[in-house]
Amino acid sequence: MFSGGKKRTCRRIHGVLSEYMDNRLSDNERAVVERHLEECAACSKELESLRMTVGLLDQLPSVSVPRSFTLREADVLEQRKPEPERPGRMRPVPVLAAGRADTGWLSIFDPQRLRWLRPVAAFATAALVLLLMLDFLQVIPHEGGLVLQSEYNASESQAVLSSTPDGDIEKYSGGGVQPPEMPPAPAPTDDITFGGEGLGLKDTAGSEEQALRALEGGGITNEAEGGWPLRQIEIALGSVLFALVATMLVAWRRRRKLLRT
Amino acid sequence: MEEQEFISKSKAGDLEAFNRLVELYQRLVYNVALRMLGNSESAEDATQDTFISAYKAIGGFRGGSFKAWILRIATNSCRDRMRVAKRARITSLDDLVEEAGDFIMDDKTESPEDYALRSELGRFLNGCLGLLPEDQRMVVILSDIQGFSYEEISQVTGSSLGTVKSRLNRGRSRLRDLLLQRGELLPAEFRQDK
Repeated sequence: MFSGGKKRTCRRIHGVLSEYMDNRLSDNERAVVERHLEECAACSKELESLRMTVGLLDQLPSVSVPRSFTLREADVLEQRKPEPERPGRMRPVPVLAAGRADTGWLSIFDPQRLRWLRPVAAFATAALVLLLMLDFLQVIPHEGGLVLQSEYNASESQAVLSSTPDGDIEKYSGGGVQPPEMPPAPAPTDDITFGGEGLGLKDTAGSEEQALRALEGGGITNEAEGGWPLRQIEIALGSVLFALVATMLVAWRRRRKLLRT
Repeated sequence: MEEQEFISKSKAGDLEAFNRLVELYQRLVYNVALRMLGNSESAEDATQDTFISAYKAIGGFRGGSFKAWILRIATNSCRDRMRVAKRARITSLDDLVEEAGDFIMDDKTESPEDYALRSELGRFLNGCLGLLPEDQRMVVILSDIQGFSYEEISQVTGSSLGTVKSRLNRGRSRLRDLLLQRGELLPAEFRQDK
């Protein structure tokens, strides 16, 4: 088990004397230690003094409790922690006396009663961040977003109008959406054929006008009516979050004050 | 069996059932706190803190040894108190021996002389225990005063078996050295070993 010089062996034996005393060594290890103890007077003395120390500690009497530590209702008035907690990380929480906790307007900031604040604030923050992201990416159609979208469509259509044949105008401008008050489209002439030949200037201008009317028409208005008021929701959520954080700060200061007292 | 029933009822918020558990363990918790902290006033506070914390957290107790669980809370409670006490740090062994105070002895049949000797020896031992590092002190108290096995100590302290063995070995050696420094209070056979 142990090899090397005598001093080194003695040091190693000292390291396991406690286990030897408590019968925690294997048979083999035990035999090695006993062989060494027979040869080494210093280690035998060390063992004896350790045994004496343990013997003295064993003589210490068990002390009676000076009073009963049973709990009263007042000791545990605040609600128990619902979530399991690792005992290793437990810290005693100062207990508020019943009267102290229930009196005064400041009791609404009692830290024991405001444990729900942190998860709620976290949820509100996550919701706000999500909303802002949706708003930024324009995933959900909403009032502000649709204005931008119509502007985008208009500019895109203008670009398309200037570079594509008239026959494609409807396709690019979302011409399927017809405004309710839109005057009837002029009857197509024989000269106008989609993708065909002989497109006259007059007809081209008429198609542009029609496409622009479609863009400015009620289709977009209809969409806007069904959109989400994201801005308002964001502002409301931001206000709630601000109030939650402010309340948490007040509760935190109050808790620190209680801990000091 | 009875303990399990008290635990189940306590989890449901039954304070009376929890108080039965308090009655079962208050002596153990108080004694450990007393040896850890070295004075009865702090030990009382730490014991009360322990049971209040335990009542609040018992919903999270997932079975196993209730004794180990409650003692783990007690050791944390003692650590908190020791942190506060560090402001008025006691530096000499003499101070600690004085701080240890008079503990109530249980053996009513003991003669006054024996009581005085044991009382003095007890105070001295407590003083020496107080000079051990916290982690070693806890392991020595649990093993050599409360008679816990290595496995139980490992559960209470949340340390590995190897750590428990090492702390116990170092704690006992250091305590032996401290006792030898003030050998006049020790029994004659111990003094001869010096």
